[in-house]
Formats: sequence, C-alpha cells, structure tokens
Amino acid sequence: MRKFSGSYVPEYAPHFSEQLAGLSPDFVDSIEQKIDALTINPYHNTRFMKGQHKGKRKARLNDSDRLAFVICEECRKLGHDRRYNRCSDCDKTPENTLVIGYIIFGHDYKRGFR
Amino acid sequence: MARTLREKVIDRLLSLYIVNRCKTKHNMDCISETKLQKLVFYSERKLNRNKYKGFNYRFIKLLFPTYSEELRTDLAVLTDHEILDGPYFKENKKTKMILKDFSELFDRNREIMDVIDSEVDKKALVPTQKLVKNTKRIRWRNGVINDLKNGTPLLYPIEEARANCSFQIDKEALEDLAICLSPKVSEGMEKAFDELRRGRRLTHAEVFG
Repeated sequence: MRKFSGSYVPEYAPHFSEQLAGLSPDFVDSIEQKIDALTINPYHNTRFMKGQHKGKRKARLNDSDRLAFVICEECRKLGHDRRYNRCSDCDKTPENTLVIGYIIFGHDYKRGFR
Repeated sequence: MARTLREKVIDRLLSLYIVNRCKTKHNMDCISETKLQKLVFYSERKLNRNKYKGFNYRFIKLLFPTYSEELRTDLAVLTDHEILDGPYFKENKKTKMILKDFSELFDRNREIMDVIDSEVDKKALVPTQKLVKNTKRIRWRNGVINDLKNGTPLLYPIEEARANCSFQIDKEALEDLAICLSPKVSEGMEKAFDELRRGRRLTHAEVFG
C-alpha cells in the first residue's frame, strides 16, 4: 500500500480515473503530488465551491485547472453529508478520508463555455 | 464581436436573477421566453441609456419584435443542464443555490441591479401580448420598431471604455460562477459525485498504479 505524506487517505470516483487516462504523464504526476500534499492538510489553500457544487472543495492544480474533493470529517461536521453529498456508504468511511471527485479543466469552464 | 467569458457569465447570472425577481417580487410561477426576451431587452436598453454595462446581449428586430439569439442560447444551455426549468422558465433548487451564493455580487452592483429591478417591476405583470404590442410601438429613428425590417440590429452591448459603470466581479467569483454555469463541468461533477454517492470508489493504487 502506498505511503502518503499526511494522515488523510484519498479515495477516488471512477470518473476521475477516466479523466486521468487522457492526460500527459507529467500532469498526472503533478496531480498525484497535489493529492499527496492534500493528505497533509486538505484545508490549506483550498476553498469551498459554490452554487450547486456546495459541500465540495476545490484545490488549484495550475493556472486554470482545479481539483474537486470532499473532506469526510468536515462534511459530517458541517452536515454536508445530509444536505449535499449524501454518500450511501458514509457510515463505513473513516473520518480521515479525502474523496477525490473530479478535475475541473480550465478549458471546460473558460473556452468550452458555449 | 463574440461575448467574452466574463460577459457570458454575467449575462447568465442576470437572466437567472430576472426569473427569480419575477417569482419573489411578483409571484410569477413561470415566465415565457417571449416575456423574458422583453424583460431583458428593456433592462439592457435602460442600462445602456445610463451607460451602465450589465447585460451584453445583441438584439435584433423580429416578429415579437425584439429578439436575441444569444439570450435564447443561454436559456437553452441553462435549461438543458437543469440550472433553470423550462420551457416556461421557472427557478429550481440549483437556480436558488447559485443566486444565494452570489448574492453579494448583487449588493456590490446596486446601481445596475436597481435599473434592472425597476424595468422588471414595471413590466413583469404586463400581459405578454400587450408587452409585445407596446414594444412594437417604441419610437425608432423616424418610425417605430414595427416598421423595421426583420433582422435590423436594435441593441448591442456598450463597450467597457464608454461605460460609466460596469458589473463588478472579481477573479475568484468569476471562476466560481463560470464553474457553476458551465454545462460541461456541471455534467462531469454530477457524474463523478453520483458515483461516489452510490458508494463506487477506487483506491489510490487502482487509480495511479
């Protein structure tokens, strides 16, 4: 099992894995490094998302790309588990889990904004 | 010239705001596209007269008699991705969440919002047919709008440099709002977090090897 630099353990949406498949190895490495940094302190330099994406946080990957994720301990503490995220296996998920959901590509919300 | 990302984001936010204003202030459950086209047209016309840059739609003369293809596209995108209910436009949970989270922008742009509010409040309850009839009679150069050939440009966005005041939105809020209003992001986020909701998860080793 991989050793992370911090005490949080990431788990991933299958769709996230599909997104990685189309990316360059360098970018995938930088995403893995970012996730490793999040395992140390997922609150550092990350912000809550707004509107219909409430309950998720976003972390900066580079100038335009962002990573959307949830910190399970925070989600429960703020009641986001009941109001927004509603994971069916919440009761079996440890507090220190980071749920990594989606890469928000800059070209999707900038250039792809038809 | 095509609208910039900033202009598109502001246009969509203000369009959602008008639908919400019709519901909260005038108790209108839903609003037809013809009426919404008129409310946006009148709002943008008044804003432009005051040299306020809020809406950025281009309107032409058509049968009803003012029409913006860009507004139609925006409304189609918003309804396709369930940010707004249609075909008679009605706010939904997502609309309310977006408007609530970005309400600070409306406070920050009070001058622009006051103009939109006054135009919407004056015209929202006017029956659509009457509103169309009144719009046809608006004076336009030597005649009225109804005399113009279909396709004649009526209204276009004012340039930033000529505006006395523009809708203020900082970089962070613009990014957040673009993410909320982007169909592709909404679709992807929904798919990914729906998988998670159903308990489908992968480990680090399964993803990164």
